[in-house]
Amino acid sequence: MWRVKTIGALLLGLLLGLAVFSPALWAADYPKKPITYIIPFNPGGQSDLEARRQQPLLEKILGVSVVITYKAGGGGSVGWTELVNSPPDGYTIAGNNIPHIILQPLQRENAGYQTADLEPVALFQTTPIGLAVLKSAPFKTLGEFIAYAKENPGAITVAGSGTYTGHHLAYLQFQKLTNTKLTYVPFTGAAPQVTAFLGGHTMAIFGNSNDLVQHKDRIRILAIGSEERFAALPEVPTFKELGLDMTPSIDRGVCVPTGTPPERIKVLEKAFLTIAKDPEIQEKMISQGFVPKALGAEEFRAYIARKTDEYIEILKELGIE
Amino acid sequence: MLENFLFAVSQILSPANLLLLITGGIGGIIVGCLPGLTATMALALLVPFTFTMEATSGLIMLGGLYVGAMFGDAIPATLINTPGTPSAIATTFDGYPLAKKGLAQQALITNAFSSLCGGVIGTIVLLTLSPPLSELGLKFGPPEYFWMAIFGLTIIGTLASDSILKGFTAGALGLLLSTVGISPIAGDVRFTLGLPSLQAGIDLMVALIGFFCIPQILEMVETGAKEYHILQYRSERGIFWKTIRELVAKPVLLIRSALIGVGIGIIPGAGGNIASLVSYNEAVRWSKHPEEFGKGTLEGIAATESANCSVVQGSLIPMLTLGIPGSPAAAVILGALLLHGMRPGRELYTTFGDITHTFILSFFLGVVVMFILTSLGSKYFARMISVPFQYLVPAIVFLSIIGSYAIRNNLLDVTIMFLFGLGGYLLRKLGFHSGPLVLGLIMGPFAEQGLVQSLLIGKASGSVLKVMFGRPLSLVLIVLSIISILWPIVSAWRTRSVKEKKKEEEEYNSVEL
Amino acid sequence: MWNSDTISALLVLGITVFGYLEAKNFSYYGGVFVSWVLLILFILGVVLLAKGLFQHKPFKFWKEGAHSWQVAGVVVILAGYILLIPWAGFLVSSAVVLSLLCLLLSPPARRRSWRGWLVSLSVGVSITLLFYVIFKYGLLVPLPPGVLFS
Repeated sequence: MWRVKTIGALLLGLLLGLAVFSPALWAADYPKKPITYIIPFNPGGQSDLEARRQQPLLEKILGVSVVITYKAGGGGSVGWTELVNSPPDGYTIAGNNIPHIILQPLQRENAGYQTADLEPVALFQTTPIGLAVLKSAPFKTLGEFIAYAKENPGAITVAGSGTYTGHHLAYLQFQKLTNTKLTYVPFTGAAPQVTAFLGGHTMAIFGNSNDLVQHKDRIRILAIGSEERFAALPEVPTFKELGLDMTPSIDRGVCVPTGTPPERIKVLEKAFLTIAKDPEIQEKMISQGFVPKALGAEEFRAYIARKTDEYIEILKELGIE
Repeated sequence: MLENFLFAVSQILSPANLLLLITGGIGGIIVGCLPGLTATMALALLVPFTFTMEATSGLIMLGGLYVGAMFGDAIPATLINTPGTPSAIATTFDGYPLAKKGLAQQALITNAFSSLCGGVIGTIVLLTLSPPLSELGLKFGPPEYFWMAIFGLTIIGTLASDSILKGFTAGALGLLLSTVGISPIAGDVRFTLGLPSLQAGIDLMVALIGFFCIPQILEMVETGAKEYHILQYRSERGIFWKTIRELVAKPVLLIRSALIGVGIGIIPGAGGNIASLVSYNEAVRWSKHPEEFGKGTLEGIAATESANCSVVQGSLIPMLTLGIPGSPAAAVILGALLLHGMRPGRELYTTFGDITHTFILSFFLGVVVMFILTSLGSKYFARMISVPFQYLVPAIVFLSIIGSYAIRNNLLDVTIMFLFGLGGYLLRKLGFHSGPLVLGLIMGPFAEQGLVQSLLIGKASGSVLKVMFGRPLSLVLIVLSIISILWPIVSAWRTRSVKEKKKEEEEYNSVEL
Repeated sequence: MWNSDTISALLVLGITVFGYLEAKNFSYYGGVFVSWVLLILFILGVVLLAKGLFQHKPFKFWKEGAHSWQVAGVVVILAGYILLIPWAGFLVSSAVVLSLLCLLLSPPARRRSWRGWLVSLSVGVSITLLFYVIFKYGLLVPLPPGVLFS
């Protein structure tokens, strides 16, 4: 058994990823040719990992090969710009990250795309954002943290990933709700952000749940942005429990260019939801520190609309936008 | 520990895994050879295939691929003066001059052997010193990144010994180019000329192909077929052992370079491109014949390749122990580990100790296998340079176009690459080199983010100066930078009076790096 | 006056001015690094200019015996190549352009013979096919098919 597997893998390896065209079993009119799956981030990032996890299953369900391509840059805007400029025929899809796709068009004069240009297909994963300090830090609870921040305005440095991103918004929201002032130090991505925080170069972090779970032995998580207590971190309170009405998170899904025929979106939606509902996949996601979700196109659209209103309000109050 | 080790040896030597290692390695060499395709991309391509394999086999194949790319990237650097990946930038400095002297095979054997040394030393460090070294990466905060970038930029003094002024100007231009796109800190949209695609900034590979490949093509055409073919590859008997003997006589160089590679690999974010340039710089500084560098010396290649191969293992140290990838390629491997249900940290050395040790040991074997493959192939690779001019040029043109397209499947990248190429050609005519410019482009993001983050942290803590200058590791880097910047100036001063006339002539006639 | 130093100095100063005009509008944290780089670039440009004014070796773009018209030909062909790809697609435009390049760089005698044309064409086509297969099927890089053929 093992042997057969290895030999099979070898053959695949020899061709180094030669496209495997598994012929469609039934002659439906979609999909008939390989689907390009744009990841608007670098290989090795979380969006990439999720896509790689889905890729073999998608190929099985859809019966065509799925080619993952990276169009990283601009916090994702390059990839989404590319998507909205490709033909809306269902053969080009892209990862869809909230709040990126909402905030970029709001904040930049010309992000290259509008939120409405991206037609949501399915949402399969949520990553709540948590606030954490090192184990060696003097703050044991969120209350102590807030008290310190009030006494020393601007003295607490918080690591986050990027500007006008989920982390940045969480920071803005936190300041507003607690009436404090912190110093936000943006880094270019989750890895450098976590490294700087673990090295003690910033005092706190607004981090993704999976990073927090991964380093939970070294850090103290003060609060997390999930709606309810988070499966992988049952002892950590949510912001809501502590009286702060915020649920900062990063959500991952897929989208297609607006104008794609609805019946093709249906096919894609069904495929992604089947994978998202797979108990094995869900279990793996939870153990890695994610919240598995399975929202279809309709719910996803409503979710984006709700979040957009929320963000516009935060930005308006701060006089940014 | 010992148990795991023995298990690992038995795993590695099983024929099936050996075959996977070789396949991965060959794939890596091909990817490394083709400018525009990086090890990171190839690793990501391979990850889904490793799902179907056992974790051990999958990791062995990934390891082989990663190592292979580090061997392969020196081949185009030597033969056509274009680095296959950013890690081979410094290989062009001496590799191509050697090839022009007809010594391409020697250059390639040097590449193979010093990569082998770097890989073996790196693996030994990875195997024995991982836990204590892993904390080192965490010590690097924003001010340290800033000073590391400054230290990196001082290398320009070495790269552009004929005109330090123009070298630094090119470096500053590179820094300016690095700021194109969305500002990493404030989110400003900078220098994009209204093109949304430019928000991503200038891709390093696009710049590399543009600044190295296109000017190279145009210079070849300018020189003409007749002159070009005077400098052809000559085969020579016994060249293999002769080269190896020459290298073995320089153990300090090889070991120092390998340790530099490991050290820089540990620092998250800093990868082979920086390591190889720093190592090259040190090689020049410690050499008894610094004037030979850049004109074709084996030492230059040895320093570069030894360092850029040991970076591979260095970058895995924080990844395996802390879950912090030291390089983009390590990030992909981390992803593969996570997808196989393994979490970095102590668990990897206890619960999954057998798999982890097999993975680490696969690097040992990987570098040996790659050494054999690339040495055997060196003769044939070197022959490629003898392909008639009118066939070689179109092939390189095509590679540069398709390579710059492959990075993001974006035609704008191809256009930028071409414009950079024309600019690079013009700049070479004016006496500028591509090396410092690309160095500026590499160091720019580290310098900018380090500076601005330090400013933010400094303001929060009450003293910017204390953050910038008051930390021990920063002070070390500052001292290193000062030494590094003064060194070439002092040594240039010393030799200048003697060679003044000759140098100026050279500067005027200089066409190559 | 027109030596390599003065020309580079003017080029650098021009870039500095362009950079400054853009950088004026950046926020503090978005512009602080750019400003420093521009300042350094400006100083370097001025020094280069000063150095250049004391030099009298005129700048010559082409060296003795340079194949200047062939270089120009390659540049034009490359530019045409990049413009052609979105229309004719990778496969067709590459085959055409590479054949042309091969012909341009062949020795003059061969450029005029039928055989030379035939060899060039086959070289162009075979290089294209070889790399096309490697990239498209081996490395899964989707290449643009072009408007005319999609």
